[in-house]
Amino acid sequence: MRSLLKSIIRLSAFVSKESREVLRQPWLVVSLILGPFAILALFGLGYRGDPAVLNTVVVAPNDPRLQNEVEQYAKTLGKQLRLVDLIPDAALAAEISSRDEASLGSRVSKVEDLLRQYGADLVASFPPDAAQRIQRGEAAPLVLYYDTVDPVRDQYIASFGLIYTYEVNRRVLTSAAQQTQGRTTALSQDVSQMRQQIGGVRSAVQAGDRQRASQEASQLSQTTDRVATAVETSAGLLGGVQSSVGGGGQGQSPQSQQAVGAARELRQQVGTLRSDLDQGPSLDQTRRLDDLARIERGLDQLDTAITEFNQIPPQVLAAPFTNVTQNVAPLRPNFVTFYAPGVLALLLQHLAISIAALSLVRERLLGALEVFRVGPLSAFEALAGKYLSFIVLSLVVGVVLLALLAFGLGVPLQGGVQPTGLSLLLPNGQWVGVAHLLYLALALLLLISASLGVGFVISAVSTSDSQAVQLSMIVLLASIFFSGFFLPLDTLYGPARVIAALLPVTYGIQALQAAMLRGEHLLGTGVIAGVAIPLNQLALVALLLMTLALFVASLLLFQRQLKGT
Amino acid sequence: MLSQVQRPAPMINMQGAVKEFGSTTVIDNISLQVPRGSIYCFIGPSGSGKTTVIRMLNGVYAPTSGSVEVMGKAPTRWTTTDREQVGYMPQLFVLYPNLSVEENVDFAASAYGMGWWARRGPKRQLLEFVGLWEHRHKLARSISGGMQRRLELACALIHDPVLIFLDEPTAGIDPILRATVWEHLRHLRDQGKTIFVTTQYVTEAEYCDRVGLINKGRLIADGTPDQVRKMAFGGEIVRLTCDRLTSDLLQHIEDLPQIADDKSRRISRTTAELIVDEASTAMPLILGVMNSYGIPLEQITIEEIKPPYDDVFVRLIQDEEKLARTMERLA
Repeated sequence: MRSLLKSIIRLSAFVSKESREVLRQPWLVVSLILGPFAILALFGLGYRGDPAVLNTVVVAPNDPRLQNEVEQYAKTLGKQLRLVDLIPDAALAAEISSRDEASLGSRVSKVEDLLRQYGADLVASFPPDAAQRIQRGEAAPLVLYYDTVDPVRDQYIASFGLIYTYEVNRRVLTSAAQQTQGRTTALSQDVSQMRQQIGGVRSAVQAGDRQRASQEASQLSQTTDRVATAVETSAGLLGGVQSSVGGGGQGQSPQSQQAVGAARELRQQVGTLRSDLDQGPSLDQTRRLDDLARIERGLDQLDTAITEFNQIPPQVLAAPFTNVTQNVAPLRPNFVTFYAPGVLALLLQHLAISIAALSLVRERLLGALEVFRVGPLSAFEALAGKYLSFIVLSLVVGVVLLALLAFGLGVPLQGGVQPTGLSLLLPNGQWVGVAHLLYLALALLLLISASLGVGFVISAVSTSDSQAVQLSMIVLLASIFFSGFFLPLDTLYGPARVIAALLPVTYGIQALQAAMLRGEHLLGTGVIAGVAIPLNQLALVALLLMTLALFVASLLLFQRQLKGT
Repeated sequence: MLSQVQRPAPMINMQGAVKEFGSTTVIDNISLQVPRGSIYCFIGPSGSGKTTVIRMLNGVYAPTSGSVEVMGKAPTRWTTTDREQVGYMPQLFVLYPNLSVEENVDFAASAYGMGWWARRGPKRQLLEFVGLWEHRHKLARSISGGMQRRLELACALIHDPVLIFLDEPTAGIDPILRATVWEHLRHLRDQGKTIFVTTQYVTEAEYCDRVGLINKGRLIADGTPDQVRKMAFGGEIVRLTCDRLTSDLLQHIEDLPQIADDKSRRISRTTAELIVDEASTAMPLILGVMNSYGIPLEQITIEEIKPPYDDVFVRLIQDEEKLARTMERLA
């Protein structure tokens, strides 16, 4: 019992010493807390979050209509494209639209001149022989030239090129649909003419003039044939669109089928009327007037179908689908909010690694290990004491930073999820569940503990202050690239993911994002290998295992150092 | 050398201890004993192996061969309780510069398992003892080098050890402070502590109960300060001054059996230094010879000379190196 008490006192020697040494440097503590907060706040104020604007020069044939179209494209594509100039030069457009490998050097040289001359990011060429190429069944290339070594910008411009080409294609299709609709507008005149011709047949039948009725019916038949043919053509466009999107049967939609059916029936009724007038035993006025009334009703139906078709905007026919996205996450964070958990995790890891890495090295350089070796102090007591004091220090920094993020930058603590169970009212008016706060505290504690383990291992293998700092910086650099801080983990190859798996911050970011952006809490249940467990966060389990493994590793290394003094 | 028979077991017993690092022999066959309640001063030039011996004695290094026993067992087998009995002040500054004087002592006390209540009294007593109580709130980095050494001493003593290892506690501090430190050490010895101390200042051997001289890893002398001095000069030194000190008279005196052969030297016409076994025994006999020459006592000045320890040290080192060269030639 007495030896246990002495052991606790020896352990507490380090807790007290390390805490006092840190508190003796108040500016260090302030910079540890306020430095990262200031950086995050400045990032929040300074980051635009808008996609890059591409200053673009377009080279196109000298065709005013085409130039007008290009200007329209530029406006339609939004803020990402800023049209710097339009160069009407068919020869230049033809040259830089070429895909000929032999002339690549000359093309690049000309494009570089243009980029330099206009201070542009992008040169777009519009091929002068687009129509001929399409006629030959060959897609016309819209070539984009740019000069960048930045892979992210390279991908961005490539994606932009796809959108640009899609937009041009859409506008071409809209124009084609518009022209088709123009033809159906002419149909309305034919329908009026048919009404007049029906009136003429009716008048001749009522007058009992079979010959004139037959002549009028002949003209009506010709007009009906023309209208029916036009309707079938127009209905084909609508039917094609509707059948592609699953709105119709075999190639045609209900509306188009209805129109085509109405036209065919009309054609048949007019044909029958004409035949009865030409070859019937008698005029039979009553039946013919009924026939004409039926034909008029059919014409009404056809007229309605044509009107409906004309009411569909050509843009809808050209691009029947529009983009609607719905994010079902509990929170739609802005950039500052999204990066806040990552910055917090990264900072705490770096803080813990740095203080631990320097700690043992300094003791060794100071010669204190020799004194420890002679005295009754064990490696476990010294290391556990240092762990405890650094955990308390880092936790205080973590909690203060978390509070600054929440109350200073408005970063949520519970990811927009309503608290369940016992909750606390924060000074900013938000309710936060106790289970949720416990989860956050556990995540911070485990992240700090695991990071201290990394730091102590670094400290044990370092021979000087500067080497410990260098190794800590390497871990920081690796953390930025491999932890999922700004590059998603699934963009890494398998071996690179091993590095990610060895970094505490990888799990720290996952756990803090789960808590702060998705409202994860301590009582959440999950299933692992068919067994329900109280925590559904593997990240916390990983951090716990890492903490234990690194504590044992650093203890063994420290013990070896003490023995080998 | 005094007999060890019927004395209590020594606090430190080193027999034929050798320490090798790779192919280099750093400590070569050293044997020494340190009685309980004494100050043992280990003197040697820089790089002679003093710190290595201390580290062998406090368990940091195990001997390559030979045996080392401290407090009755090998230091490498000390238990936690054994370690609590030992105080150690290494050669290098091992205080925490950002902690105050008092906090450094607190840390040292806690590291030896002393709680706040247990260390409260001894802390004040000790800081007053080393003259740092008034400076207890100052940071360790802000106090002078001498104060830092005294603070280290306080840290090594706070847990009231029975055996204290001090590696060059007086290095780099002024003579007045050195005297103060030695005063502290003698005070501790008087309380029954055993102190093993190393120093480069050979004159400090005078302050100790026993002295060991080390050079190039070899112990070249071991005994009380007087024994070591005697060892250096072949005996005690008696200085004789007389106006009528003729060659004949001097020869007659040198023929006395208590006078070492061929070691006397004439300093001047009237003065000579004689090497004797025991000054107290030899001086009456010398006076007897002079009396037989009719020289009255009032015309004679006779005194025992204790040469400074610098001379003792130089003489021993020179003798050792002369011997080593002879051995090499013979080999």
